[in-house]
Amino acid sequence: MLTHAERILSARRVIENLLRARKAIRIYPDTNPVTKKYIDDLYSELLKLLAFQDKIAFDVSVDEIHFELEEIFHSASQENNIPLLLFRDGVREVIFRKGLTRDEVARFAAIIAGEVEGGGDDLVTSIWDQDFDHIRCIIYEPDMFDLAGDAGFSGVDGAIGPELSSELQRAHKDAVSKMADEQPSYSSMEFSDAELMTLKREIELNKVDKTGKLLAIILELFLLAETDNECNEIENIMKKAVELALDARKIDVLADFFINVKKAYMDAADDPRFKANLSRVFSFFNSERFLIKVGAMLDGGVRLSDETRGQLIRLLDKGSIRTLISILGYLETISARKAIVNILGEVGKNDIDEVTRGLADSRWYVVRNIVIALRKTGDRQAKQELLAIIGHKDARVRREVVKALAELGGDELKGVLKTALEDPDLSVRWSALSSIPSLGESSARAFLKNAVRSSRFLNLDYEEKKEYYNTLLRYNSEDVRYLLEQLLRKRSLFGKARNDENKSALAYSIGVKREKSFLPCLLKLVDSKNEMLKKTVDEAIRKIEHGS
Amino acid sequence: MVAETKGGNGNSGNLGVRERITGIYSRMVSLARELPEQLAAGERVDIRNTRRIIQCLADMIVHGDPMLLGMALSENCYDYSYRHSVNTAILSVALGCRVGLSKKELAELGLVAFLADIGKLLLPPDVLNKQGLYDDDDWRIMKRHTVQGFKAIFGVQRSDNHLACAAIASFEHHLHFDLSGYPPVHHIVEQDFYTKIIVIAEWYDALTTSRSYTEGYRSPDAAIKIMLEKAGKELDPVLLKTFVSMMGFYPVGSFVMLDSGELGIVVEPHRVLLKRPRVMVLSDAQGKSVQPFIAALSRRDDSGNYIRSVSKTLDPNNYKIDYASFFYRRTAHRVESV
Repeated sequence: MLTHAERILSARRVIENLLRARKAIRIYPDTNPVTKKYIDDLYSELLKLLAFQDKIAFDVSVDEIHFELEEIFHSASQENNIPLLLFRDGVREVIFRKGLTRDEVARFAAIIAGEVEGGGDDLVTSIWDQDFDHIRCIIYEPDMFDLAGDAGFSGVDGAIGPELSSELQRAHKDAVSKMADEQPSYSSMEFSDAELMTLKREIELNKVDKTGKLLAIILELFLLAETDNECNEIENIMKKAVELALDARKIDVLADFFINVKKAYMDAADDPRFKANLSRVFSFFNSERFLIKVGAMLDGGVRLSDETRGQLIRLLDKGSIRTLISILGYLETISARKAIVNILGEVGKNDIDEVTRGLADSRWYVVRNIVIALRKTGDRQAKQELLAIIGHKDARVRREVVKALAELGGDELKGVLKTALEDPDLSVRWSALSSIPSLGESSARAFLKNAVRSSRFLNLDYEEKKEYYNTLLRYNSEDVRYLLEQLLRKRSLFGKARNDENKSALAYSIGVKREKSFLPCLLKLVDSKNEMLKKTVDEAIRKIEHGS
Repeated sequence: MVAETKGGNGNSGNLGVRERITGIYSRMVSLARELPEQLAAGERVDIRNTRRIIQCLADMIVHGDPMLLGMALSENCYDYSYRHSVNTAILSVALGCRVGLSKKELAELGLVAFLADIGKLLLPPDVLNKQGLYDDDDWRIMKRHTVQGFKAIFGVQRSDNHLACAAIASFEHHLHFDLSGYPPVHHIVEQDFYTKIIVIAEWYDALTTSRSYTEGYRSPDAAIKIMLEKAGKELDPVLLKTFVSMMGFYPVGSFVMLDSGELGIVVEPHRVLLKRPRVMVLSDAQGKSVQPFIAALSRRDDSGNYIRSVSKTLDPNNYKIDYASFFYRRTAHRVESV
């Protein structure tokens, strides 16, 4: 049995540990050893007090906590003022009961730390929601029961008075003369399995977010609106609901909503007032305010399903292009940028000029993403603007321009690729190389054959040579095979090392492609004195013969 | 005053049970009066107090205290317009509890039900308080209250998911289960679950209360009969069955004559035998008042026959019988020995 002084000391430690636990919970996750320790300390101190008592109560005032009529905590500072935190929400007493569990203590501490999801700023609601078995709070609300009493109700005690007796006599007389009631057709309510399943399903469905329903009602409100003022009002409500949906990351629900609005708009062909009402929804959908929030949501990790992306694309009009471009300027994640670029690639088809205007942006990453979007539009109108930035100062932009022009095709492409293959930046050259097939088979073949035959080719980097051969080997034609065999057989008195390196690169690519027709040529090189060539040829032969 | 929470605001600290219940009821009525005034005046609405009081309500119903339900079923002096919101909340939470909603969901449902008809309280007083039947114009205005309610609730600053649910119910609570009713809808495919519950509670409260623009009071059992006829069309059939099994065929407050000739008031439904509630017997077979006692109609004699059954129902409003008072005081009366 603890003495009074020991109990007071222990109660003080409870509050100290609660403060420490609160701080730890705010800083660390609940699995952190520091958090765990403070919760353990708090719990063990409470258990110590509950060892000899069924319940312990802490009285709360503005900045003090009392235990057994003694002040055990006083705080005038805002930071650690647990009493004020409890007091301002109406808590006047906190009671812990025997049977208290560590889990309850941890959840209680989390509420005090303000770390309970959905708790909002109402501590009492958070405590109530937790439904503790062994923690209770006494709440004081100044006007909670201000009308308590019998204001609305009269009552009688005990026996029935004379006035009521005479009323009963009258009722009895009426009842006797009245026909007996028809009896209910059944005496109990039986539920079929299907009914119980329906109920269960509805209860489960009720737990999911109701944003979709909210938005459906807003659409109904637009249909019901009687005046312009009312429409304005509904428009504001819609914006609020859309923001709620965005906060809840319900982009799919929003897309469904706007699609339904669009359908309603199409159906309302002969109702100009209603069409005008709904056009407000579209202008909001295409607004900067909305799209910026969508961007933020994508940055927050939301992924668009193909269906939702398709819906968004169907809904956005050319008025959104400028905003989509501006969003590209500050999105932080690759996935978000990709999503917006994909959308811009589709929506941009409605106004290529508006998209190309974005190429003048001073930020290289914005320009690069617009180039990608232009490529996705597949619109050749963009070619002139793309050609104009082929010499962009940033290689990452030049690389994408080459890819875009290659996909868009045209007579200029050969010249573009030729220039790009001589770009000082490897990634640009790489991009150009992989774009050569866009020239069409015969042009590409001729282009590559000329390239590998040129004197410049021998000076290229080993990896780059391999890439050329990989590309050329796509064309399994007689002339290509002939050229490559010639290259494998080529002898050189001067520059033998460079020639062997060239053969080695070609052998490597043949191995990757597992081209059996080159086997005789390769076998002639197995005894090469050049270690690198010998090794590459061996590997290529092994790949062709054994597949590894 | 003080309320104790079991992790909430449920059971009293210092108050007696009856005072606490009447306190909760009265406070809810006054909130029902204040909230529309605040909304109409464009004031910032703090629903924290409403939330707290409904947490008390949910606690009581979860703990099986029938008195609050009895209060909702009793006539009292409060204006119907305000009382209706309170009764709807109480009946809805009771039905929600019966279908197995969690305590947290019950608190949400209570708040949603309490606010569902707030649009009506925003109607012009000359329409809301009109004596006599409504003409077409009155009805047109009246039917706008669902939209008004939605806009008012959703327009509250810092609206959250609970308020969004309340706004949904406010819009839908005059829609029927088959989506007829008002306002006319084109894009809603099903009533919200909470709305389905609330509509049943509202129907019951409306049917058992006389108002200026309706046909007038119906006895609880008559109300149940009418509602059963609406199952599957205007009311969700499964939830209605649940409601009836909760209330019994003779809900609390029904004024009945037993086959013994005694008169009494139903004070508690039987959980299974819907026609066999517990009745506070007030008179003998000749209509002479007796010291009230409670008779369980589920009791049988030695031959297995029921000792008492309901034979007829009467409208308590035709007589100066404050059956609510019997309900509240029933614990003070003797219970027929078994």
